[in-house]
Amino acid sequence: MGTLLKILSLIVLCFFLLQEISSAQTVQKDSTVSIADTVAVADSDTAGNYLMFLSAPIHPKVKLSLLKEAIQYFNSISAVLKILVIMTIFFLLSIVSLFSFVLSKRTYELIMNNKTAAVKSRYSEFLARYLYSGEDYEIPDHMFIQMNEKFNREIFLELLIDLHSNLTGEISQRLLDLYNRLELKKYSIAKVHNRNWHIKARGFRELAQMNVVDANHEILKYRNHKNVILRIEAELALVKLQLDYPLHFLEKLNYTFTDWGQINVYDSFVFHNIEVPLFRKVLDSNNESVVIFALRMIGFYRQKDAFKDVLVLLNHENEVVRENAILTLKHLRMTESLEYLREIFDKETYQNKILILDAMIVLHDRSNLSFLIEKMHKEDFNIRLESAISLHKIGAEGDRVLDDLLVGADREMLRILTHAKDERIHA
Amino acid sequence: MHSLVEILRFFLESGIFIYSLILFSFYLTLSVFSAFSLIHYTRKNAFVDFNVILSSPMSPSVSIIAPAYNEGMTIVDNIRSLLSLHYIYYEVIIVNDGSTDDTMEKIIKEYSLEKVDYAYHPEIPTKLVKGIYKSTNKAFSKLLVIDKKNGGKSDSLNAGINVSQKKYFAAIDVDSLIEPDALLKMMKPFIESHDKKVIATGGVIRIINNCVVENGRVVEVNFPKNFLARAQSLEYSRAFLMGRMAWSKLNGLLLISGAFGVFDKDIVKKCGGYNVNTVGEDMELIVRMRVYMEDHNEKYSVVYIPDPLCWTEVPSSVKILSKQRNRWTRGTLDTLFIHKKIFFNKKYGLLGLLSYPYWLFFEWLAPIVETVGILYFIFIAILGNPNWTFFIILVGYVYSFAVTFSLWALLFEELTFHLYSKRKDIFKIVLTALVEPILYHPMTVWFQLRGNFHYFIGKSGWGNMKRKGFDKKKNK
Repeated sequence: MGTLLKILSLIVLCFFLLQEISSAQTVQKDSTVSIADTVAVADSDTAGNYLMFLSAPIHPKVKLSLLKEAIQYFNSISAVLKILVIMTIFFLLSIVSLFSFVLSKRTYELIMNNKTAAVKSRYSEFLARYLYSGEDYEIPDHMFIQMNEKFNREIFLELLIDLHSNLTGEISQRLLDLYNRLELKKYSIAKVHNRNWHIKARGFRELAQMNVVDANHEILKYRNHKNVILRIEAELALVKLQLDYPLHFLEKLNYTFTDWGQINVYDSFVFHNIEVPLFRKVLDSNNESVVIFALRMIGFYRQKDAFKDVLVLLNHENEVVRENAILTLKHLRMTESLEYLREIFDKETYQNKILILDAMIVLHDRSNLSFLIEKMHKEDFNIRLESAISLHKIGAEGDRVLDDLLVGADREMLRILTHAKDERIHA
Repeated sequence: MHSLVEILRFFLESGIFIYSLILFSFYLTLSVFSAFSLIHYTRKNAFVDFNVILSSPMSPSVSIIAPAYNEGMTIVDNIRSLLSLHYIYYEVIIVNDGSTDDTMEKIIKEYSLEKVDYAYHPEIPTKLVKGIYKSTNKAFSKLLVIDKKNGGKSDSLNAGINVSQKKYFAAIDVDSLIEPDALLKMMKPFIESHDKKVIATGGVIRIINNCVVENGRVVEVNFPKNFLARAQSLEYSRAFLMGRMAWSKLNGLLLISGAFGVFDKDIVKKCGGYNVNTVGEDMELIVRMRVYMEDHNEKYSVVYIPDPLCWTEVPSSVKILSKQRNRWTRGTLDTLFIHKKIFFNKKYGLLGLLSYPYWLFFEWLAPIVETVGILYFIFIAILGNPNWTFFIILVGYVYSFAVTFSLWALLFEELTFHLYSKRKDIFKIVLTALVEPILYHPMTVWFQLRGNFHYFIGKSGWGNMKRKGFDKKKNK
């Protein structure tokens, strides 16, 4: 009912507004009389009728040539009709233009694809010749000339970078030499200075891939850029270029280090075979997303020396930091962490309680027995289920507890106990 | 009495005309937003290597939930296709929704399933679960099958959510084909978000009619042969590439297609899962999730991916199309009525002030207003003195706008995903765009009117959505 009233009041409001507009327009028309306007206004009986179209016929009866007649007719119709006619012509022209554009785009793409393929093939041959010739190979002059042309240069750079990312050792070094000898570095740096973010980002990639270490300071400026993609590209480039301490970019990082950024940086460590730094160094960062990243890395790389620092974070005020600390302890697989997990259990959020019990499934240890037995008498289904699985994982002692619980168990408890012992579910 | 007639006349003439102008302005504005959004997306994606998700231990986990009802013909291949998706941490939950054919027997046999002692705990109430199955073959360890009493798609999805062990879940139609890298792309918004919680993502649904399918993969994309499918192809391009892309940019998206969407499981559970009492469960869930987030003052977004990620067969017969559109209309109406409190309610921000009113005025009311306008003109033509000039100019305007809008969608398609690579397909698309407003559009308006009628007389149900099916090996 309320909705209906709202709709009705909105319609009534629109109606009065339109009435006002139509009256105002008529007044304006009256003050600036032209022949066309006179015809249009004369055809409407009242001021209120100005916006009523379907039943207000207009019949210009002037015999002129077709074009003149059309123009005359156009001049004679009301302003609204004029707008409609103009819009229709615009749309019709759009239809023709769009159709032509799509067709010509296809033709253009076909031509460009062929041209690109030819240039690519030429440069691939050149690169093969260069790599398989000796160090004294002289780069032909035409290569220097061609590198001045953007089209050729971009194709060549793409090939060079692609090849370099897939090669190591001496051959990789020779490609770097070629990049320097052809003076391509200046073009990559120019990209960094371009005002378009996607070209800047491409510049970062090129400089990082071709190990242009002296571009560090240029890229470092972008670690706190508002554009998240640019920021991530800068982070990735810095990981690769600051090999002495690849976590340098994390210091003074003001923005959230997104999961996407973290995944990419981790991939960079793996892909580029970068020596893994000690992540506990950044655990005290003021940026919580950096702390979360460090916790995750400590877990994945099993950096057990960070154990005590991780324990401190079990009491962090941010739930997500605590969640990641629990997960890290699970990944570290150190049973020493169990007593700390038991200690924080009761004051944790429901989600984190489940995570603790889940960690206990992995860190199964008999020291958990009494703790888990106590949890089996809690009301919550998921807590009891996780505790039962954890008990089962402890082994014979845990199974004995589960068997004891079978005696006098209600239906729900029975289901929990059989679930916990069914290995097929946990496989 | 005279003034009452004048008011009515004003509504029927000026009101409808102004309504259509506002509607067209909306479409144009949305297409501009969509264009910017697509440009940004394609530029951004040039720097994305989705394989990093595939190999990262930080990638979030997902349960794929696929309800199946009488899918005996295709279920085995469909499950195989789901098990071979490119993703790292995921499980496949098939929910047999009380099939009366041999769906369950086929799955059990093909995937060596056996009943396990699973403690089913329905946090969201569902129909009786008869059994939960796992495979004895370790190669299928990701597979879990729920056998339950028939309760409909929503009920099956709720059962899947109840047993899901992952942080997110993907709801899919088991008879749709999912691109191998679809999950990677759908999960990325959840991973990259930094200032808002992403609660759901949706992707473009593409039309599989007349495409070549090999081993559960679309290997050749062709424009459909059937006119209805062609018209729907254009309609989908407009809706997905121009409409939803823009709404996503505005963070006002109200619908993620039931064929494929990924959701934050925790939020869905807090919202009570899928509504089993509506046929528009996909839209209703998104609206409910948004309302929940607004009520809890949490920053959130619903993200839409323009990549073609899911392929589905669209109705190629008038009868089935009629049932589908009828159901969609009833679903929309259901959602709008259920969540009527958000209408122009500033507490709900963009949701209450723009998204909901847009759906009410321009998605639900549009066919009704259009019909009233046409009937009024017929009335004047018979009894009165119609302004034929205005009528012809108006029809020309509406028609040229409709065709232009379709061609904009074609242009977006060309500039982004370039799915129809054959030159002759371009001509077919343009031809379809030229005739679609005359032949196809009136049909859908009629189906929507019927949907409205059926809703208000209380007629419910999904209707038989029998599909012709695509051959899993080759279908051209």
